[in-house]
Amino acid sequence: MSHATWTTSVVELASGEPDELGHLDEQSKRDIRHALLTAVAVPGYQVPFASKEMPVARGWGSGGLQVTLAVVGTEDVVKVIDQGDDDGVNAANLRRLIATTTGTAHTTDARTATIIQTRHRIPEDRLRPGQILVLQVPVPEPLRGVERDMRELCRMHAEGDYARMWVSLYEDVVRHGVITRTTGYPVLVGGRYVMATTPIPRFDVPKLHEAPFLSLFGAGREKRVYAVPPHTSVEPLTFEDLPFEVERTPGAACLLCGAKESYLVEVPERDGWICSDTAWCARRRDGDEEAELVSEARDA
Amino acid sequence: MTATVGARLGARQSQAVFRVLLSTLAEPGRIGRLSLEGLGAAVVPLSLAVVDSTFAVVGDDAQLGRVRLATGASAVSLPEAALVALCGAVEPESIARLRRGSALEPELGAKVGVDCERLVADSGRWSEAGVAIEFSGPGVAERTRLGVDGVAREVFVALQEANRAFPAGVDAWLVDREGQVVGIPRSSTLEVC
Amino acid sequence: MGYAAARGGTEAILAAERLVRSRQEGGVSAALRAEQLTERLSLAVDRVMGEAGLWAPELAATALRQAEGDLVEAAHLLRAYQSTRARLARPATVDADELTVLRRIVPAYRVPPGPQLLGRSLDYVARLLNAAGVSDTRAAPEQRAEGAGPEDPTSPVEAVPSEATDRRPGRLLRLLREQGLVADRRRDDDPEPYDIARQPVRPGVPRSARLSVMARAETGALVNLWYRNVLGPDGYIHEITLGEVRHGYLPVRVEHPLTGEAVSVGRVRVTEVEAIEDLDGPGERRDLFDVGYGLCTGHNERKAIAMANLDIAVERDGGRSPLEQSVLLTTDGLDASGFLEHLKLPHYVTFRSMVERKLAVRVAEPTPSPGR
Repeated sequence: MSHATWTTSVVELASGEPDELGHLDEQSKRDIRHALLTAVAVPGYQVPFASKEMPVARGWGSGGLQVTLAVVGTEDVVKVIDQGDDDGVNAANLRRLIATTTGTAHTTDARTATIIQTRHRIPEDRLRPGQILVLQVPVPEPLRGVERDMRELCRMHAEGDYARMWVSLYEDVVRHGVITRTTGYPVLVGGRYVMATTPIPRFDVPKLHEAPFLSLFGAGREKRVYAVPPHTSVEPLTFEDLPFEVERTPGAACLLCGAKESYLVEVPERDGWICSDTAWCARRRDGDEEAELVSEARDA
Repeated sequence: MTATVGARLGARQSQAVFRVLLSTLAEPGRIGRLSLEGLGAAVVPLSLAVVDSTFAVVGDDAQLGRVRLATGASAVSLPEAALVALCGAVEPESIARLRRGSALEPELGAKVGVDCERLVADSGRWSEAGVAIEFSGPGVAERTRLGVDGVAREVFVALQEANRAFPAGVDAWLVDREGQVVGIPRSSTLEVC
Repeated sequence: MGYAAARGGTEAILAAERLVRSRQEGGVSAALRAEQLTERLSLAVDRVMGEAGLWAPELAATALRQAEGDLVEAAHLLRAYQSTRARLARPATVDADELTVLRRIVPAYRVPPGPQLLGRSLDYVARLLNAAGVSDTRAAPEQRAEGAGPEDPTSPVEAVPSEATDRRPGRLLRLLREQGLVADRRRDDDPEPYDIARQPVRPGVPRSARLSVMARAETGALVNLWYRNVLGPDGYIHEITLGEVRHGYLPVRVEHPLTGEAVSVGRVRVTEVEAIEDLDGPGERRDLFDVGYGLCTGHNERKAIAMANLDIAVERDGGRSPLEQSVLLTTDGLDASGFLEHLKLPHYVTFRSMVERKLAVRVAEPTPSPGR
């Protein structure tokens, strides 16, 4: 290391400027930011980054957390959800970590949040321009099921050679009559990269297509980030004669708010369903007009 | 808020600058604004460089020294640099020499700040500017038009050429004298009018 | 409704944490002091440092205590702590020959160059459980001299320190090189080692990356990977002969900011292994040996031996098998455990999606007609 470099870093440390914005040191944040910019410039491409160990374990949202901590500023308002629920223990834990280390404001309202960190769901509310969605990703590699060797995977993405993926989907249809992919459905982004939509349900995949908001995906354990800019095409991989199918159970409606067209999860002991987006559901119960409208538009 | 040109950007400032770089790169052609004045093209290395980054500054040796002192990063030749500031009157040759990465490693493509005089949004007067650019591609809702003063049209032609072999390429931000910023990711298609 | 749908996730977490603290701070036994761990459970502390990939005995003891003995959790605490620390400097390269040995054995030769120094080792202590325990007849801690703490609280007490013993013995490798028996891997250039903390690894990375990954890998992962490749169904590698097994201190030096001279700022205790591989594969030089290298912080011989064997195995494998990918990507304790335990998180959104597909498959025709 050069003399000048050493002097700079010692002076920096001696100056004692506290890192007011989070759990990561400035160098780590800049590394992540650099990777995020590449991700935005090459939509759907998995950018390697120097993932740091976080106070949450690998696999528990360390990637999403690093993305949020690199992005968040004092003016932001942060919403954190897991399975669509603000109050689940995992979301509560992450929110607490972000709040105590950045001092930013928090909300459960997806309409007023500037940054929404989420595991496995996109909120029911229509997100607007300027909002940033940070998705937690366990396995960022969409081709994992068709290829194990990492070098071959890199080549496939570099050359846009997704033939094996198409063959795998075709075999799925032949064998089962439908594409049996459940969540994390593979999509083609910007007409170029096949991307894993984390394990969000198929129901949420269309929200990414030509969206007004920016989506950032963080995979801490696998040490990759990727992104979908606003107004970018996100097309689920399927065949011309086989429409993309989302999860829907005819007749199901939320026991609490009555919604039919939000993403519902089962409650077996009550022989019914409830909204997974708890904040949206609560607003509907409170007679919130906006939530009503969104629901009606989907019912139509 | 004014910052001494070349002074180290603190945590808050770096984050604020980054958000502008992020939003303008995510929506190419839309004008963003830095809250810090006087940074110019150097805003890119100043906000992103870490101690072992490589950077280059063309057209302003004093600025190069300030970036080095502020970030501790190493000044290297233009084709080796990850972070670049093209200051003053920018030459198309500088664009051509930028590091582009490869299909296997797009992340090696350089991030570049480019000085300009003035950015003019598409509000009727854009065509009076020196060069008129029309954006399309990811991040662009409808074809977005932008007027740029102070950058030769050959520079934009060179940028198109540098990004011809997507996903290799370079990602650029135009920064004008008032601190307005426009992002040009390598994914953008530019039509130089 | 399940725990995820319960209101008050924050309250639930706080309650859980109170339970943890009450156990940690309660009970009838005396509170655990960090020095009890560094002195009495030094091998656990060493292992935690090795799996965190750093040298900090007191911090590691604190982490081990906070993690209630969970080694992977303790390593996680250390690494997460390190994430918040800025880098002060980059140390100068150190030659491994500067290692001052506390212990050094050479199984390959009966009388190697330099001493065979058994040192402090549990290898030959009979595995007989001392159920009666150890009675403490030493002076109470308060009665011992103030400020008499050792520089390395985990450093083993020397058995018979001898002034005449060569504490920096030459390597067996040098002898083998003189005899022209070893493949020469020395280089003229001096490439920067791959920094795995700054750049994630993938197959094809330089050897320094592989060594770095293994240096902080989980001990059990390396041992198991070695074992299954020697005796298990994978069967890629065979056992090596050990050339060097060393335990000792390496100096740490940085460049002085004013003089530019290298100054010593401390030392770290490491375990180092050189493994001699008998080349016998197709296309290999049957008249030569090759060498694998293992190094980790703290005293952890099984890890360093596994590491050295896997190092040369990956080198010889040349990417033919998934061995390199296994070593690079599946041996980190934090990654593996974290991902495994993440299965405890709510997964009902994804599960509902799977149920829906199962019903869809039942409804669909088994084989749709082409061109539908």
